[in-house]
Amino acid sequence: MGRGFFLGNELMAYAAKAAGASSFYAYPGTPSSEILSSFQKYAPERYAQWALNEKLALELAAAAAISGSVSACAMKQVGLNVAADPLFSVAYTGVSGALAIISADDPGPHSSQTEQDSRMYAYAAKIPVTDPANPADAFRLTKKAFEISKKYGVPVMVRPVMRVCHSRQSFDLPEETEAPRHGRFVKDPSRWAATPKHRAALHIKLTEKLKEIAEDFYSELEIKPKAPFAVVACGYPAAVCADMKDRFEGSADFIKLDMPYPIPEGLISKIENSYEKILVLEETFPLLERSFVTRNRVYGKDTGTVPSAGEFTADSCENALNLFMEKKPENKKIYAPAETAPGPKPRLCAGCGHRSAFFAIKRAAPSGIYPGDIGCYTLGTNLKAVDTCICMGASITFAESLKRENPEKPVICTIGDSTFFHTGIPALLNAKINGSPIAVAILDNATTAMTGFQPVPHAEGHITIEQTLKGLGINSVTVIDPYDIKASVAAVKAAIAAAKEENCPAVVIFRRECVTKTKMKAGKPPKVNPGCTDCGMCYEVFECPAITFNGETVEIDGASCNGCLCCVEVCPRGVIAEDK
Amino acid sequence: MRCVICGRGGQGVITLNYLLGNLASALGYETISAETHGMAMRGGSVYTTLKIGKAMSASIGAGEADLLLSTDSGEVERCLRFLSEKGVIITDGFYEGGPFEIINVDAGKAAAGKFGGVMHAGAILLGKTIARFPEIFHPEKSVRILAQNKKLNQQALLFGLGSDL
Repeated sequence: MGRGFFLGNELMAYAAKAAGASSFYAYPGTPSSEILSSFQKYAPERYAQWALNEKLALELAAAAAISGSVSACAMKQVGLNVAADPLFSVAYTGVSGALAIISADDPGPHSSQTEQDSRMYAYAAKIPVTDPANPADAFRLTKKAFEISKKYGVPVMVRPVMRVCHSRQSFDLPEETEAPRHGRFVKDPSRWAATPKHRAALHIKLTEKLKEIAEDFYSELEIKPKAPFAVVACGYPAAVCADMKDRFEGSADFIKLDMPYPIPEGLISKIENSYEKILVLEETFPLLERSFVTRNRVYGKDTGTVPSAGEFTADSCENALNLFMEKKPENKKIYAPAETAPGPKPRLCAGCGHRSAFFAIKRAAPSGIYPGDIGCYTLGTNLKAVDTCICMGASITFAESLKRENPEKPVICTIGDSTFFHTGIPALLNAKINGSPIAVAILDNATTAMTGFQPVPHAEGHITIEQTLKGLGINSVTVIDPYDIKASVAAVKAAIAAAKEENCPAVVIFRRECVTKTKMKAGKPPKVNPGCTDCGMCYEVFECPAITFNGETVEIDGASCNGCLCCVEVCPRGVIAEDK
Repeated sequence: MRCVICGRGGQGVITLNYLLGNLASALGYETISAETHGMAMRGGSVYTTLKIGKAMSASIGAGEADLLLSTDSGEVERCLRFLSEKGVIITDGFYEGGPFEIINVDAGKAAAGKFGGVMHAGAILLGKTIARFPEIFHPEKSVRILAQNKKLNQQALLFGLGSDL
């Protein structure tokens, strides 16, 4: 394969191939999404699946590993919340092949609803977790995770952060990879179908294994104090800190720990006894920091030396080192203005069907409550058509409960097609059997757009959304093209009425393929006639990125406009018109 | 060499980072970069970082960058804090300010007018960067390496490099 400039996600996928993984399961989520597609690229002959959600992905990989195969699954940190149930159980049963669970965190957060630390799940579920610092490290520590899993029969987590997943690094791919390992299921009800009685025994075994794994992993690490202080780091902060070694060389030793859990007790006390004080750098929870017992000599998040929230950066590292070493900050000349105006907000693409669907929903029910969901269409907040955004699938449950609490208001929730299949289905069934009169707008763009256009089940031809709705007992279903705003408004109004009439959710499917995926041009850009009063409807309220105001009138950028002509309907003065 | 590459989502910032990083890697340097995906892609402000030479991370602190490369002059100011006072700014459009060496390039206009579309502005900026740092990128060698990239507009690249090659 040779040398290249590889993404962390690519190298983790390649490590899975190199370790003999015969199957890989995932649900897309930034920053983890490219892992499965890279596995498909590097090992096209092996099995890869986009599962409907992370719980399924983890269970599918776990079953393969219980059947003696080498398997892996990947997800983003909030996806691990969805997969937590099997995670805790499979920690006890273990596996007979090998199982690596890659859970990618998003400190910042850049593209997530939380900056939670997946390592805390490893800690809570009692499974080992490796914490890579950069892409090359991610290759090594993913391979290591498979090795530990094979040797000890426990699932092992790999926890990269966004800066590892979405960093690229020059790297020589090793030629040698293991052949895919397939196993056969061997019945052992005391493990694979363990009742509570067996579970206690499994728990004891797991605890013993963790001690062995910790000793084994760190058997070659020697602590040889040369300086009075120590900087102990793991994961991405270790990489940032390593690049600043010159700032503390001589005063503090640098110790990089690759597996924050489990850690041998002896190692912790050795570090504590060897240094006057210790700075711990890690993201995002002080997991390693709290492994230390002598708290008054340990600095980190709990002492405020390192910020407790937000992403670890070169600047926060320098600041932490200065505080720890009691050094004055260097006087750097910075020519940037103290404050810059906030940059342009992310917004829906020009011609995106979601925009006109949101516009129609608001026009149909201006006093409504609009629970939203996770995806590109969370950007409906800009259009004031998303009032809540909690987690995958919560738009429908929130709609059900908000309607019960606010019966006088129409409640219209929006959910994307991929999210509907992810966790929307049980939520909609729950609303149905509990007689909830809500309108549900399914925004069907035939792809998982936000994360890079991963496939969705109905676009692959396996099932239709309509078939699913029929099975859920939803009778009022309208399919509409959101480019037809008038018809869309009518459809939403009709759905609100039908829901009320039948005491049952009514669904409008807004169907329009993702314009960015298909690079679709619907037609010619419209023309702008005289008479614009700068009401801002098209470029501010409707927020079309192809439209700007030039001081006199609006301008439509022919290159980015896709000719959807929705602005013709949106313009209250008829200034924007079809260019026939 | 420490670079910050910025612009707006959709302008090809990540692609430019990849092209420059991949080139440095192919030239034999240890190279590491950091990208931002997801939400930021949808038209928001975006910046990426790149370190050419031995480094464990692509993280760049205030006042540390040697180059600020921008696909949008309106985004330069937001990333200025990274730039060292001896730093160089190469930007599409026009920017002035600070003690920096500034190379303004009408890359978008040139790309649209001469090379078939604004999407080739990145190739022009890439050419300018190679030309400005010949001791790092060895222009003739870089051109040979980049010639293998069939998606890259070679004319736009050569235009950015200047006419002497």
